[in-house]
Amino acid sequence: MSYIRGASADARDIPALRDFEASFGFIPNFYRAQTNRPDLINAEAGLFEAVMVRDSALTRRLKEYVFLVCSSRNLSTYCVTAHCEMVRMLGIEGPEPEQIAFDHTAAEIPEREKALLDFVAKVNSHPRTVGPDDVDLLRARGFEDAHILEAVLVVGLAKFANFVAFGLGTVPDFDPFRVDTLLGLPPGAEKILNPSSVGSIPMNQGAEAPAPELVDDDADLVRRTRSGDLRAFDELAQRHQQRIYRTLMAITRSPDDAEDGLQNVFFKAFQHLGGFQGASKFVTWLTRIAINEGAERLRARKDLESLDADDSDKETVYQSKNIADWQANPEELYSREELRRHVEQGLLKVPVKYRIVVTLRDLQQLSAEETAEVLQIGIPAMKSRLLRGRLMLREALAPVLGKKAAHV
Amino acid sequence: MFKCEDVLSELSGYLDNELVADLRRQVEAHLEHCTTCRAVYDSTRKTLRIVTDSGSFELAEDVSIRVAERIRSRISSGLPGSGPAAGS
Repeated sequence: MSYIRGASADARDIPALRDFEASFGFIPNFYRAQTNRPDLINAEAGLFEAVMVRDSALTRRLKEYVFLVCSSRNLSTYCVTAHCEMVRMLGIEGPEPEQIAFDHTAAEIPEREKALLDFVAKVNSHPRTVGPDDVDLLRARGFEDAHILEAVLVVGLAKFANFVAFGLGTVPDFDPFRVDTLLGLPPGAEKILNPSSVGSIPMNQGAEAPAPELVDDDADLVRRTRSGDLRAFDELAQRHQQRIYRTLMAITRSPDDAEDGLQNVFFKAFQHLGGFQGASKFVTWLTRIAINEGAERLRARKDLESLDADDSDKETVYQSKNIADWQANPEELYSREELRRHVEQGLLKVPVKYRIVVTLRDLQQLSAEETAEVLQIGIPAMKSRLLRGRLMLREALAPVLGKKAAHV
Repeated sequence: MFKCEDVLSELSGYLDNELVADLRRQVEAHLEHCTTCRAVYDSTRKTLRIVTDSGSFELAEDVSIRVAERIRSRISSGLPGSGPAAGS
């Protein structure tokens, strides 16, 4: 997670880190690597709070964009991914933060904001060329000294964070994958932000470099469907019916809803195949449609369950209650059919928000990245839900698979 | 020293073999002497094995055939977007 070892067991004793955990659901590697000096962590968090978080002349959003522009120019994958997530925590959806990091001049933001970001890019990358004319340009755009001071301080703070992250070798833990998917880039394209993989290639050059090909077994069938071959779509449906049905069952708990939803998903996929960009695999795109279909069905029948229900990810640790040993091969207690029924019943006892993650990851065997992508959540959030889901399922299965069950 | 709650919060990563060596060693050192965590780890591992092999929520063959037929007829019965239950 970093080049030097922090005192990780005591991380939660540091007040600033408890706050971070409450906000993000985990303690970022950036701070974990510094736990030998709690006093400095608290001082850094205080500075961050004062410069970035507190009310000020500039909005939090614009300060985050200043931070992103600098971090991307300094090729800090860690800070870019972390602050893209922070922008999203401000309630800003869509790929805007990633777009700002890649090239703010192409972002759909007011010209006035672009002028400020041009200025901070210059302060960051060519500090000695900055002069009074640059500041006058900002004043002409309506920025006052208070705004300009804050922007310059954020540049300094970004440089501090970027270089600390480099020096400590902190591995991104926020979600670099999102940078790819939201910009429609193939997985791994975010590596252009990572200097350790490409030396010192400037970002814009990296972005134009040929990206690794996404291998999609369905690409040919998708292409044939688009050119009017309905048999090709039939084959796609055959190929993925099982997976989509499982996804729908896991969300809706109802065979009828899953069956109706199944045909809707494929019909919608057929209708919208023109909009499928190939930025992700077809099956990932299809699973995303299925999750939306399932969520819609829960809403339509006013189900008490909801995929985006209460955010209890932040509860620290799930308490396991039933901790008796299990026997070596509990699957031998039952026939295959009985076992399947027990697992289904157990899964349905787990709240949908966690059940869907366990279903995708453990039953359907999706990768961590694919699971996070189809659920449109970050990898840390996905992992936190997966852990809780697995522990809840274990708890639900304990009465039938635990030691006591063996004597029944 | 790793506490029980530290082990529990790394359990998924440990089961998926995703932990860096240092963290993995700390988890293993704890499991070595803590029977409670070992029982939770062992039963969670077995749970995942059983779930993965269970074939749960399987689509029955008759449903599969019925649905495939309906998809075919919905697609061929009109222009995309004009299907009777589109968007439902």
